[in-house]
Amino acid sequence: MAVWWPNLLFWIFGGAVVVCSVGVLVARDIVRAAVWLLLALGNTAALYFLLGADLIGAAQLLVYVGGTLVLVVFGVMLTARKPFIKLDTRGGDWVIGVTVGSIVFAVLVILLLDAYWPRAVRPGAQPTSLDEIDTYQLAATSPNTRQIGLYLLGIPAPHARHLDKANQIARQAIVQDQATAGESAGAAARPSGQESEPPGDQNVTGTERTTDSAVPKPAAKSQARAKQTRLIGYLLPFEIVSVHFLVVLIGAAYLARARRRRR
Amino acid sequence: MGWVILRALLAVLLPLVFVGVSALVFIWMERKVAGRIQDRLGPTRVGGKFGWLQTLADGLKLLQKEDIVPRHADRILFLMAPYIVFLGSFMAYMALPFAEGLVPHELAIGIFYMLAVMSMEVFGVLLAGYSSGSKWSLFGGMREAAQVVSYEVPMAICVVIPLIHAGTLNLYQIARDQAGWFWNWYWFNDPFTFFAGWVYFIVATASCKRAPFDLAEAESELVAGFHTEYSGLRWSFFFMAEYASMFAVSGICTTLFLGGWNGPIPVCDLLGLSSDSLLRPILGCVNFIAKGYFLVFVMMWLRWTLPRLRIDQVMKACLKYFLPLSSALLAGAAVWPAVFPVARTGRIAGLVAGGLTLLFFIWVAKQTPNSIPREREVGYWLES
Repeated sequence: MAVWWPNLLFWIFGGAVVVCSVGVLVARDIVRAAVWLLLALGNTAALYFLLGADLIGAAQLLVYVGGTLVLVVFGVMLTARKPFIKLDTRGGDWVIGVTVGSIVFAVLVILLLDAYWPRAVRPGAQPTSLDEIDTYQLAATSPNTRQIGLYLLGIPAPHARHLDKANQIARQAIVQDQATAGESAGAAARPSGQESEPPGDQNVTGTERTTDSAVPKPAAKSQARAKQTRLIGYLLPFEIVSVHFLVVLIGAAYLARARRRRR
Repeated sequence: MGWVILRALLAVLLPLVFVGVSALVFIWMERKVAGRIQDRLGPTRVGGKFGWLQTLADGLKLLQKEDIVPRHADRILFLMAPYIVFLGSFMAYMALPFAEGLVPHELAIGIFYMLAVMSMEVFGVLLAGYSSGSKWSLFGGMREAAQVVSYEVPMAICVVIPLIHAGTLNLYQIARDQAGWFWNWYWFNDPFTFFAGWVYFIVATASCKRAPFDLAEAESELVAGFHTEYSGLRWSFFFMAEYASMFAVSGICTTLFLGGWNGPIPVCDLLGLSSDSLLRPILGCVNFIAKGYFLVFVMMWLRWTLPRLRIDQVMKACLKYFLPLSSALLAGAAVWPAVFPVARTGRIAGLVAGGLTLLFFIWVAKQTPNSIPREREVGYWLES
């Protein structure tokens, strides 16, 4: 219970996202629905910042709030016609909507529970096993940006060991610790694949461990898959998508060009 | 744990106080600068000879004005819009490095965060224009949204140009990297970065909806653009947000191009101050604020000197002139280290470019006054 405010902020922002999303559904006026969407996406960005993913949070603000929503509000303001100015959902629409929504929600929940979520690390925490070093070192310097940069270039985190001198020192420290405390408890020599810390654990030092885990162990296959996919560099797909966007931009400008009126 | 909350509160309150006080100073400065450029004095009565309490009087006047919400306005959106605009401007201050150790929050993605958050202003202005329920406001809001969103592109490109040399998005590290004399500034890193500084400043002026790009609030055309229907304190929120974002973009320009808190002359090193001494952050902060205020003064100078651009001229300037120009500068700045790998070559070239520009300005300044014939006119209000 050393730090309670991240949990409180999570509940505040998460609750705000839920309320604003419901507001999008319930709003009668279409511009108001867009504003509720703005608030929902803004609070999502706040959740990203709370997770320490500041690059994603800023990208969320830049892309969604500053770009997409401005476009939506522009379009909605200028082109709202009779059936859309006052949104009135009837009973039949509610039934269909709720059904489809529940199916999508069920699919998402199943996917989320089955996925492999590498443990995010608080800056300042200490690694306790060899394979955790890279995640911890990367988190200590700049939690998110550097990791994204390395993945972009195709340097997966375990292979980034040679880039960090501090990693070597940490490795030696861990090896020493393991050598001296190798017989006792065996907790330090636990293989890294298991997530043994309960999910709500916010301890800063990272040295507390419990032997039984409240989180189900991720399937070995999905974990191996996760480790394998990290070897791909994302830079080339990024460039291809950028060129794709340029093509879309040119196409949109061409489609929206002012046509000369023929006399 | 209590320290964290206290630090967070300070990180929010100190920039808030700074923004509030700066808004006061800027409003006074605007009126004085406007007056002097227009060959008159500006406020001289409230608060003594220089009228420095005029802003306070203005604030009191605005406070006690009637809070009008037009009948056709969408009430909730109308009330919400000024706060979104102010939020967009103010959140950018979280990443601005004021001095050594005086950053509200050192973000690894500092400049990216600032650009992302300042893009929220567009939404607030759009809402204000739409929800006012008047056609002037709607037009003003549309124009402003188009302008600001378009100018974000060359602004982002010009911001990337010094980042090529910096290698980091962290504004604090960028400012620390420029320690020393003025030739360490990124502005003189190579000629392309030098011109990028100028282009960035112009584009940032446009993205603040500041004259000569202030079609959104053009008094002669749209009454007051998107904030026509706002009165009293709500209007002053828009105003404060405008001055806040003016200082924010000036702060970005200072940090990226002009060395942040590091002066043209390393006064702290010359005085032999130890690296722990308290004078370092204080002098650095004063230096940073002075540079920011100077750039805001230049924005005001531009406002009262240049005539306003039409909206089609504004968009043409952005898409046909600034965007290709900034892209070319980006290409040049990116290729420069490959062609001239030695850093000193770039620095000398940048300083040469700076020197030539300075000579050009001096030449232009010498041209103007003597060639215009001055006639002494006796007007109605002069006695003789």
